[in-house]
Amino acid sequence: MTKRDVEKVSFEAALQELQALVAKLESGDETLEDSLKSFERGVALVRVCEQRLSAAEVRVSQLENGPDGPVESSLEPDA
Amino acid sequence: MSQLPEVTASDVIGVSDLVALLRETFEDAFSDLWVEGEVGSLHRSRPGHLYFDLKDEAAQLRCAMFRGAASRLEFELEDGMRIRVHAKVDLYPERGSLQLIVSRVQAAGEGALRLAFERLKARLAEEGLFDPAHKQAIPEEPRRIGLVTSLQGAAVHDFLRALKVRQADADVLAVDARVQGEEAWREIVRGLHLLDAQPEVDVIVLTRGGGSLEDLWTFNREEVVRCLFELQTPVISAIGHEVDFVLTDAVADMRAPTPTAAAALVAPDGAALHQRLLALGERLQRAQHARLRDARQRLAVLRVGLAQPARAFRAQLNTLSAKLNALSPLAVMGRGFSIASRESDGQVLQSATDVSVGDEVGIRLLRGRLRTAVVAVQESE
Repeated sequence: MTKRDVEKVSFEAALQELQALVAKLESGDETLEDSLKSFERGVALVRVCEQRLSAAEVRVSQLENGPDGPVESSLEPDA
Repeated sequence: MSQLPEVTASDVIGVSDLVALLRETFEDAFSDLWVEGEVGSLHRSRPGHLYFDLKDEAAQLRCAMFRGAASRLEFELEDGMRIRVHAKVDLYPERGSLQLIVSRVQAAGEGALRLAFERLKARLAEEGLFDPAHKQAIPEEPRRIGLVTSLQGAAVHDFLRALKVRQADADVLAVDARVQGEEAWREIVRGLHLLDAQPEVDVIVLTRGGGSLEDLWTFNREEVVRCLFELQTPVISAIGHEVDFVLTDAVADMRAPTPTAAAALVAPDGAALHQRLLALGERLQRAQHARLRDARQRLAVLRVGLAQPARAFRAQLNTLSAKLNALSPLAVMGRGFSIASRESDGQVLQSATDVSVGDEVGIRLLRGRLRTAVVAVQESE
């Protein structure tokens, strides 16, 4: 898997993959070379997930029927 | 027989005229009434008109509700239901009978709604609308969350605040719809269809705050329930408080007891995810360190293992080399012996007769070599 793939996967999928990687590493069943690859991918997953979490926000827009079909406009959520 | 006064033709009116007169009088006097009573002898005609008696302990009146009005009924009428009708009095000329022409119906108290609710629930359940087999899974991380609710209501506020509290990464597309009153169901159905047609919306939340059974009735309307059933997009119904249960809850792919709970269903808890991520990151580092340490140890063991055979080999080599050394002719010559050979062909001499006088003989010493000539041959000592 490339770095691009890491960015495309869903957060939950990334976490689950990370969980599996960690379990595999902890078992010590992999060859050293494979374990290095797993570790590298794990680090990439952690980084992408961190970025996503820190960028998290709630965006709200309104959808209405306009004369030419549905129209979307941004709404500021009253927090 | 008593004597009746003479009646002249001018004092007499026809039945039609009287009925017309009565009709006019009633219509003027009783055109805008709310009448409460119990439904009886309910009958639906083929074109969709409804006919029933409205009665109490002592009296009853025939009622007609024409198709247009009947189609706007918020719940289905049942014999025995207590209702209030908005009606005008009409005189039906062909039979000379009085009837109420009903334009609107309200439930009188919760009993009627309760009954209507139970009946509709049973009928739709029979049809399979609430069957778990029809339920779709709610996506874990929706790209866009469709929201149908009143943008003036408390529910939208609760829902969005809950998303923020969870530090959710959420993209909400809201459609404003009234959530109470006669027209509410139309706006809700329209909003649901609008969102269902948006390809990026992969879950829809239908929500409103708490209220009485009557306030929440829109969410028990057959039109709304059927609309939810037909949506392509998974839908969550979050109506009222924990104790409120409406039919949209039964038909939706998932029910949330409150708008806040609905937020929890569509958006993972950001803070919790962060904790989980941190823990996994730590385990990853620790596992890798352990793995490397393990590899280093194995390498050390292998190195020792590699050294072992080499040492044995060297010992063997020493033995061999000592033996070899012992056998070496050089060792013999070290003790003063030398080797003589015929110079012409290099043949090592073992007997004096191997050469003749005048032959050249080479003598190999411990150090250096001599070339000699034979002066005499003595066959034995």
